[in-house]
Parts: sequence; structure tokens; C-alpha cells
Amino acid sequence: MKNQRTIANLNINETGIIAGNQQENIPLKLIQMGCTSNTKIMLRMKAPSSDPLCIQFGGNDIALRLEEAKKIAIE
Amino acid sequence: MKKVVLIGNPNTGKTSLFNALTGLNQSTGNYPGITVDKKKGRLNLEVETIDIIDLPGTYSLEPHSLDEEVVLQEILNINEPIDSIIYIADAVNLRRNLFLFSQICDLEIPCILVVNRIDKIKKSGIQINQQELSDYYKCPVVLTSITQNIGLQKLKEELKNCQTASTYKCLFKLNNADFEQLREIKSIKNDYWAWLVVHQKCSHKLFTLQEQKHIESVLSKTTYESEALIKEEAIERYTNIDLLLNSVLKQIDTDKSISQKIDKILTHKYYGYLIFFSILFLIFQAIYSWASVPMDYIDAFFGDLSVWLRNSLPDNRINKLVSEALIPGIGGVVIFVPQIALLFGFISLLEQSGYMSRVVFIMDRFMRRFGLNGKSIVPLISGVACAIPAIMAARNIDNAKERLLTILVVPFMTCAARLPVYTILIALMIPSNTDYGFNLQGVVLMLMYLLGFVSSILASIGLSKLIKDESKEVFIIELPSYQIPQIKNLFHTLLNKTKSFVFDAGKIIVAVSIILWVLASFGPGNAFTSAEQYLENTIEINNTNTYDDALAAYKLEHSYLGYLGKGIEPLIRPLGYDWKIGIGIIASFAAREVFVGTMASIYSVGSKQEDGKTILEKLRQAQNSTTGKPTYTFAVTLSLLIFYAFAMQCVSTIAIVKRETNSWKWPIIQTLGMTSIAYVGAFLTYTIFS
Ligand SMILES: Nc1nc2c(ncn2[C@@H]2O[C@H](COP(=O)(O)OP(=O)(O)OP(=O)(O)O)[C@@H](O)[C@H]2O)c(=O)[nH]1
Ligand SMILES: [Mg+2]
Repeated sequence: MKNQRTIANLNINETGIIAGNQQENIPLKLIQMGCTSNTKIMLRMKAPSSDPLCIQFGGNDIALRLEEAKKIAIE
Repeated sequence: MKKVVLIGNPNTGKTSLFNALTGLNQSTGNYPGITVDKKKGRLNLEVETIDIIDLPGTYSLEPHSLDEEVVLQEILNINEPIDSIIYIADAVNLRRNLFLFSQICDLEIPCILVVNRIDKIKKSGIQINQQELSDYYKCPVVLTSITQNIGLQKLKEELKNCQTASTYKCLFKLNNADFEQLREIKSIKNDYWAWLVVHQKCSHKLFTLQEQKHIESVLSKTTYESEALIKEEAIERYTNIDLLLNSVLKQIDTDKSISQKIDKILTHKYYGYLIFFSILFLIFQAIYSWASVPMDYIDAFFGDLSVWLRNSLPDNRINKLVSEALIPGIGGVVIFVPQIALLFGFISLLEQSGYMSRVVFIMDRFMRRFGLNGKSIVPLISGVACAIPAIMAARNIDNAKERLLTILVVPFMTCAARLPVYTILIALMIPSNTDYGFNLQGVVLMLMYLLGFVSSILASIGLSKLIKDESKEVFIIELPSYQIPQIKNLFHTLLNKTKSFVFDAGKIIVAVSIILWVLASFGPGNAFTSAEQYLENTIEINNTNTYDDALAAYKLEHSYLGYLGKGIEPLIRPLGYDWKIGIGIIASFAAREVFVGTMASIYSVGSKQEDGKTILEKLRQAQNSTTGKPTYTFAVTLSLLIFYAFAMQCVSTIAIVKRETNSWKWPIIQTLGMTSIAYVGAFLTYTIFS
């Protein structure tokens, strides 16, 4: 799917739900922190040049790089 | 003795609890990854004394970085089994914290679940059903707030009654006939232990050779995709936790609006960097101007002390050792306590407030260009205090290549040990003058720090081409909420770190001072022992003071130390140094800060008249013995400054790099590389400016 939106496309303070079957695209560490398919996330802030990004889920603020964020599709 | 370990996610308060239980003062801070090594303490429980072990934080038992691996190693170490685990969960973030806890429970080691930071949840309106948690995990649950001293007594009671065997039965099933063969090994207690052995290669070396063979043969028979399996494990665990939390937790969304507002400014495209650099600028100005008053007093105090001792102790060799070598040497370290304490204090403030992880966030992209990682900022900044904890802090970096690069370039950063050397040299070069509205010496000092930073970046670019990137780990970091720093924590951190700096450096300095003094007090052949006769033939004696001076200088020159200095003089003459500086350089290969003390004692051995003078005055008056001109000209001083900026002169750093990289290759490359840069740099500087 070419036009699938990813975490990287979210606007600041916009919420999204991670699409199903994203296991392969989400880094292991993020999954272990509780960010899996169907998790509701919010884009909290972006560093300059949108890299890295900071997402919020379940009370966590977690920063990850654009490269990884681009792989994780949202519904 | 019973062994109890503290386990939990990063930044949940493990070290705070450790300090509260053991009365020790390990550093804490609002940054995930303050603790990177295990620390042991004792707790007296009336009935018995137990060993408490503080560990780094981790999000799971499958480690992503070296500090997390420390936790796994501790758990799997079957030779020193753990009697019980205190698991510290953050109440504000229970879901994620229960993930690691569910893994811990499956180990079937008795545990106590501590839910910390309840002061926060009262504010944010979360309610936790303690009983249900306790029933589900079959272990005691204690609610605590360590900062407000709530629940600690209850925890101690629970520790006294702690079970000897876990009543929780591991729910985890391997569901794989091949893996199940691992259960033949006795020390692999259940399916979850077997699972850890399957996926964590680092655990294998804890078994006997025979067992290792068995493990290898089992694992080589099957093909499996570790990462996918571990992801499945994680997802299943979260499914169970979510079911449980439905009844345990009544949550109203946590309020992060204050942190959000602060972040808007501190991570802003422009202001973010502006603020970061202003903070650094402020720190350096403070180190220079605030610290100068107490430093002057300390310097004068040690000058007076050594005169007083010289006059009041009986006049013999011991007197000279104390007043000429030991006191000036120790004074040379103590004088920098104000600056070093300020530095440690500022770093602790950055960590405690939660600002440090924001710096990581805004600097990651910049650092990546040089082969580093946003997280490298923390070792680099703490490298400004001391390279040793900084190199240890690099354990927190997940990616192996970025971690190695960080370790290799940290020693370029200006550590506190260089501060004494820089301070003296800068003062020799630039008269103190605040007419410009700022302190010019402070600005030069800041430039030296900048030089350290820039060279570490440049070195990293070069080195990153030589190192292969084999690690799959990605950059992920938690940004904790901002927090008002606690004065108590700040004070303890500052006190401990300064204390250990002074004592560690002090030990080396005392040893080096004594060696130098012995070398300076004895000499080979007649020239030293019958110096009086030699002198009488060459100098007209009309003034006892000049005679004493000349005699002392003559003796120093013909002592073992003098010959040593003269021995390396040809090597350092191109840099503009004489043999006295040569001695300082030789001595500071043990540790840089030795330089100042060494120079101080060399010049006081060399001249009787100058007793009671401060180190700076002694150096100002020093004359080159061959030319008779002042030794410390602008070119020489600048060249020394450059030499000390680059030379890898710290035995402890070399040792720690060896340990952390687990090889001799890197510390050797690092030492040779840096020292060559120092030599060439100092040579060019001297040639250009003289
Ligand atoms: N509000 C509140 N803050 C706490 C409490 N306990 C600890 N803290 C703060 O939480 C932060 C982290 O504490 P540490 O003890 O360093 O945490 P840690 O688990 O050892 O962290 P790592 O070593 O990085 O894994 C510090 O800034 C503490 O002051 C508590 O009960 N309430
Ligand atoms: Mg800790």
C-alpha cells in the first residue's frame, strides 16, 4: 500500500491508531514498551527537520527516529 | 547472607529506594539510564542483615543495550542465586511496568511488587486496586513514595516475612518440542528460563561446558526467528496485562500539560538550541567567576600551611618531603574543588530536571551525522566532569557502533582533571581582566571546551569509517516528565562525586609527589652530593639567598629527576618546553592533574626564596635555565594548552576503555592516536606563535 499513512504523517497533537499487522514494522523495543498494533498514539512533538519524533501512548513519551516512524502504518 | 535485587523499568526510583534502604548515596536523576552498573549495599532488618543490589533499569529481560544486559546476567547467574526480588513499578505508568514484572514473575523467584510515585497518582486521579494485583501475581504489593517517605516501613516488614519459594506458577509455555529438550539441564527451572536461554546467547557462558554443548546442539537443530518470537511473547503479555488492568486500574488520563508547555520552548527549532548553548555558556562562566574567590583562599591557605609546617617541624628530610612535595601536591588538587563541585552540580541539575533527555532529543539528528547518537550527548557532557563515568554511561547506547565511537571520542572532552592545568596556563597567558563586561579568561576556557567537543566530533567522523555497523538496535528513548530538582539529591551527588574525585586524584598525587621528591632529593655521582664544591668554583658568593637558590637549582638539575627531565628534553624542545616542563609531562602520564602539583613542587624545590608564594606566582617567575628568559611565554603556554587538550594522559581511562570494549586494541589505538595529535598540535602551535 503506497498511500498508507504512517506515524510520520501525523500532525502535532493528532492521535492515530496503529494499524493491524504492524508487528514486523515496529521495533522490538517499542513493542516491549507497549506500543503494538491497535495502540492509540498521539504525536507529541517533533525535533527540527521532524527527526526524531516524540509519540505518546499510555502515559509514555517516547522518541524515535523518522526512519522507524515512516515504517509504522496507522489506520 | 540473603541476596535481594532491585529490578524495574528505567527511571522508576530503584536507586532512590536503594539509598533509602541502605543509607548509601548513589546518584539518582530524572533520566532513563543513570545507573549502568550493579551496586551493592546492606540493610539491617533486626532479624537478619541482607545484601541489597541496585541494578540498571530495563524495559524487558531481552536486553537491547549493555546496561540492560547487566540485569539479565545478574538474574541468570545460577552460581549466586537471588533470594528475592523487589520490583519497582511506576504507578503513573503501570501498564508498561507490569510487562517486565510479568517476565520476572515467570522466573518463579519470590518477589515484592513496589508501586512507587503514589504521590503523583493522587494528583492525577488514578486509583489502584492493590488487593487484586496481589492476588493475581501472588506476591505482596506495597505502595510507596520514596521522595515523601511513604510505605518504606511497610516494605521492610514485607522483606522480613518474604517467602522462601515463589507461589506464582509460570504461565509461560514454550510450545516447541525442540526447545523443551533444554529442560534436561537441571538449573533451567521452567519453560521461561529455557526461553531466555534460547534467545539470549550471553546467558550460555553461565553454564558448565557440558551443558553449553547440550544447549548448542539443541539450538543448532532448529531454525527460528528470535525477534519475531519475542515480539509474539510481548504481545501476548500485554494482552494479559490489559485484561488485568481493566479491573485493577481506574485511570483518568495523566496530566502532562505542564511538561508539554515547557517542551514547546525547550525543544523549539531555534530557541531550543539557543537555550541549550546559553546554559552551557552560563555553566562555564560560573565555573570561572564564582569559583575564583574560594580558589584564591585555598591557594593562599596551602601556601601558608607549607611555610608554617616547614618552620615548625624539625628541619630534616621529612620536613622537606611534607612542605615541598606533599602539601603543594595536595593543594594542587584541593584548589579545584570549587570548580569541580560546580560542574558536577550543574550536570546533576540537568539530569534531575528531566532536561537531559530533551537535549538527547534535539541533538540526535546533529550527532548522527558524525556517526554518533543523541544519547552520546550524555557521555560527552559528563565527560566534561570525568571520562570514567562518562565511558560507563555509554552502556546506555543501544547501537554497538555508536556506543564504541562514543567511548573512543569521550576522552577528547575537557575533563575536570584538565581544568587545573588549563586554569593555570590560561592565567599565565591572559591577565585577569573583567573590563569587557565578561571574563576573558572564562571565554578562553570555554573555547578550550569547544575545542574538546569539536575534536571529539571530528575524531568520530574519521573513526566511523573504520568501524562496521552490525547492530540492529534502533534509537528509542523515553522523555520523562519534568521535575523540580531535589536539593538533597543535588547535594549528595555533588558531595559524593567531588569526594571521590579528590580522593582518587589525591592518592595518585601523593604517590607521584613522593616518587618525584625522592628522585629530586638524590642524584647519581659527585655533581649532586658535592654540589657545594662545584658551585664554589663557579659562583661568587656575596649573598646567602642567591647562593641557596643557586645551590638548590644546581642540585635539582643534577638529581635523578633532573636527568630524567633532561633525558626527554630533546623530544620536547621542538614544542618549546624545557626539562622542568618535561618532568611535569612525564608525571602527568599517570593523571593530568598531577601537572600543576608537580610544577608547584619542582619550583619550590628549585628555590628557597619563594616559599609561601602561590603556584601561579611561582610559575610566572620561572626562567628557562638555558636562555634565562621566562619559561612560560605566550607560545609555550599555548603549546602546552594544546598538548594537554589532546594527550591521552590518564591511566584510569585507559583501563576503563579496555574493560568496556573488552579489548586492548581500542585503548591502544586511542592512546597512541591522541598523543600523536597532541604532539603535532603542540609543535604547530609553538612554531606559529613563537
Ligand atoms: N515524585 C516522585 N519522584 C520520585 C519518587 N521516587 C523517585 N523519584 C524521582 O525519580 C527519579 C528517578 O529516580 P532514580 O532512583 O534515579 O531511578 P532509577 O530507577 O534508579 O533510574 P535508572 O537508574 O536510570 O534506571 C529521580 O529524579 C527521583 O527523585 C517518588 O516516590 N515520587
Ligand atoms: Mg538507578
